[in-house]
Amino acid sequence: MGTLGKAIYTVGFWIRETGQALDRLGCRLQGNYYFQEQLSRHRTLMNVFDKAPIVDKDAFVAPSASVIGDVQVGRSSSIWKMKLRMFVWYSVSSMQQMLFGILIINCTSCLKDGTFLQSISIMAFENTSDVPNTADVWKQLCGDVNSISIGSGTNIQDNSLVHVAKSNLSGKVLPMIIGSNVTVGHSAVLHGCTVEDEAFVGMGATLLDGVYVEKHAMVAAGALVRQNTRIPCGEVWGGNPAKFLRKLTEEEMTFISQSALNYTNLAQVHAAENAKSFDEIELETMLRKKFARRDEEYDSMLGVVRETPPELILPDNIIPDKAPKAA
Amino acid sequence: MAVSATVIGALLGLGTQMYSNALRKLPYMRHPWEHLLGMGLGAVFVNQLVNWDAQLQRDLDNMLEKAKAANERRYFEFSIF
Repeated sequence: MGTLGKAIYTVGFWIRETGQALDRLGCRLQGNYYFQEQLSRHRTLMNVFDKAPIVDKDAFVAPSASVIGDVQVGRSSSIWKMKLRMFVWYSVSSMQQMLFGILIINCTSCLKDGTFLQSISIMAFENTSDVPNTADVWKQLCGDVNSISIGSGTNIQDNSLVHVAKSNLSGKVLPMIIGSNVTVGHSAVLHGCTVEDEAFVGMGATLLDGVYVEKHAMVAAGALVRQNTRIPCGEVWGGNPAKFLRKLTEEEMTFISQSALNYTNLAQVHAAENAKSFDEIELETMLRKKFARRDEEYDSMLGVVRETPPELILPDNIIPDKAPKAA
Repeated sequence: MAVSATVIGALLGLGTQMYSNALRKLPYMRHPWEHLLGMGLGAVFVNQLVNWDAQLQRDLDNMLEKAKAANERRYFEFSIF
């Protein structure tokens, strides 16, 4: 975006701010103060100026995940939820310091009956401009300084962070490239590195800048891979700092692609669940209560035959043999 | 004259509002509608100031004129002797 684009963006911001102020004035005149209700402004996909994420329509991004800036997500990839995140936004308002403690307990926490809560929609803030520009808050997170590209069929699991830095020790700002059919375990931190196709990053692993994970390589859980390390094909590295442990077996290599496929299927199920409207979720909750599984013996004693209504049957393509073959 | 006074006044109002925001460590353009108000007030203020200044100048000229007449009267009355 050039200077003219930024100027238009800024003027648009002013106009919108004024519009919101007029709207709030109207609400005050009508005596309804719903606009003061503070809700999370979390957005799953967010742009920083013109750097908007490009997500393939077949990819699943959990509603509580944040994809910000120059990020590309390929076909049938999945980005899993962030469980709970707390923000405290400080802002200096006229004369006094105001504290906005915003607890974001975001959606997609799996409810008891297996349904998913929809993402909370965002309402107008009373003090929109008191909350610092969301773009500023997020500036350090994700693809704002460099690009992140994620291939197809990849899964980035819950609580992971994929990030590129503005500055690092070596002074190079590297883009983040994740290939296709990669499995990135829970709470992994990937920082300005390259992960090739069908690699595996274990849970809680940390990959620092300039790490290169080759095809079919594996980073063990909890490993810390130091800067500019290259993990060759078919090897497992683990520990802090990560060292070569052993070679991967053929079986494990096939498991990596199988794992990616499993997650792709699971993501489809989650995406379908997340796309449900509030009414559908309510209906299913009601049905689940009604058709809650009783003791079979008890049922047979009574002579009751219970059938599961079709709404409650989850698609079974999670199970590997039943999964449709990936093209 | 009036145009340049209005422009200067608008800039003054805008600058004051931005300065006021900056002092409070807010973003410069917080509450953008207040800047418009500031520009309006500034324009009115500078125009009024110019008018008032012109009026003052005229009044002062008048007074000087009167003082001069009085002095001359005194001088001529004095010179009669």
